[in-house]
Amino acid sequence: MQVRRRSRLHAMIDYFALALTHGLLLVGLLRLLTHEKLDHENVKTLAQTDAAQNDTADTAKSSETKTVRTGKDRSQHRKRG
Amino acid sequence: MLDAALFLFVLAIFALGVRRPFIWVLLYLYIDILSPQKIGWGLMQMFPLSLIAFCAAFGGWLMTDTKKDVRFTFRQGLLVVLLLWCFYTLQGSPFPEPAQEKWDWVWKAMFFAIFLPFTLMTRLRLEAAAMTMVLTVGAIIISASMKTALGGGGYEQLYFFVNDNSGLYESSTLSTVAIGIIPLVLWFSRHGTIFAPDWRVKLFCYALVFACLMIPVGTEARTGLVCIAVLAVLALRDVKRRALFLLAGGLLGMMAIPFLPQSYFERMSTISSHDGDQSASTRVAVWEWTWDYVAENPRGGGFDIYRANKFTYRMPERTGEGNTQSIEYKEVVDEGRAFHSAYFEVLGEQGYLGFLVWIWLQLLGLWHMERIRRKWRKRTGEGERWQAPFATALQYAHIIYLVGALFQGIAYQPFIMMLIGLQIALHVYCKRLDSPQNKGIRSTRGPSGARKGGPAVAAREAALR
Repeated sequence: MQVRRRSRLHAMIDYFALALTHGLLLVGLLRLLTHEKLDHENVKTLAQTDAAQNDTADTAKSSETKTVRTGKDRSQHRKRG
Repeated sequence: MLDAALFLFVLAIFALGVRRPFIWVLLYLYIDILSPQKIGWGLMQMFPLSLIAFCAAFGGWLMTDTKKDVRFTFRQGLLVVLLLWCFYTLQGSPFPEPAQEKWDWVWKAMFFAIFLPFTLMTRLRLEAAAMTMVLTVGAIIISASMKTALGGGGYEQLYFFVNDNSGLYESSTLSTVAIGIIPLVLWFSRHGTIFAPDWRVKLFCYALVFACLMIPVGTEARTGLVCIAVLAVLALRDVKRRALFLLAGGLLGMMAIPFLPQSYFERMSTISSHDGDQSASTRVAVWEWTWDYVAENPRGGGFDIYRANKFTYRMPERTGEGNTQSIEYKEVVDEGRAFHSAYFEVLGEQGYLGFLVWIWLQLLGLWHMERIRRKWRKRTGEGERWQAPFATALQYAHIIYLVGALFQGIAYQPFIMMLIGLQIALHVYCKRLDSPQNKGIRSTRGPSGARKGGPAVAAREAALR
């Protein structure tokens, strides 16, 4: 009796484990199906995106520096004047 | 019911592959790891699923994939040499039938490991292959760990989906693989993109890690405990607060002790004394025999040459209890004992040359992953943060395998071959990202993505534009 109950429990656990992992696998594969980057991943684009992001940061930094310098130049110019 | 469900699942993946043939590669990984044809009994056994999936994967790649970024690497070359050498030693095998039986699955595993990197040329594909491997082996792990938690564990007593002691359905092999995939599971909890790492993904990953840790308990495989110790040591490399990590690990271990069965302690107590049980005693005797055999036959004896061994050794037999315990040494004659070590397996079967190629393949993988880890660790740019942790996860899985392989004959384990395929693919991928044409874009910035030369370079580039 106990053996039968245990084997039924084991069968239920097996079903649960298979259902959970297979369900996740199926969802994962369905997500892959619509993903653009599955077959082609333009490494250059990846690097360029990265470059663009850094460029934006650099531009922002350099414009800040420029503003400071311009301010300094003006004050020096005034002094000279 | 189960048979039909598995069959429908395989059919569904086949159907998905019509739109994206790469999915057939994943289907092959799934079939090779889980062996659903052994779980099912009717429909699943009517068709040669593994062969169909392999043909579909190979055909799909041949017909639809771009071959522009395909590279044949040195490690794939080593695999080819090992494959050819295995075929050569097979010809003179004194046990042709079992040798042929082993060759039938070994060549497939090695051939697929050579082929797999050709298909994994994008990040998403690398991740998809790792996800399929983790979730598929996760099915076996979750089921076995739940049975363990409900009191169904024990040495050679834990029931898997398939109970024929083959492939991953062998307790020590499963223990090694379960501990080996933990770093990969944790990688998914931080860097996954197919399943973005939100609280649900993290919860699943941590639960899976716990299930993985339960496998050595459930199977009472001594190798599993050794693998856990190795993983803990490896983790020290990456944790920020080592003392806290050690303290927490020790506390968790202490807390787990009351929940572990007595049979587990009895089994683990034999780790330090190899003469305590027959399984461990014969290992040493087999290894000595292999060493002598390969000295006489330097080119190896081909697959399953262990069947030729016959030896006598002295094993202690304890009688009585407590103070009245007495030990008698009796002579045990044994023959045809398996190698119980991947290193001696390769040495005995493939001789010195085969062993050299095999160990080179393993060590080179560790070195490649270490290089990627060091090179990419400090990069913080978009799309540059996952490579180092991925390489680390693959490296740790490999180290755990190499330690586990000390005590099991798993030299050509298909799961490990897939892991090698993943490593090769990651190495090629990272090399491609660092190739001169891509480096051209990157060369103007430092390791963290910050521009070298500052505004002067930017101005020069702007002028060029």
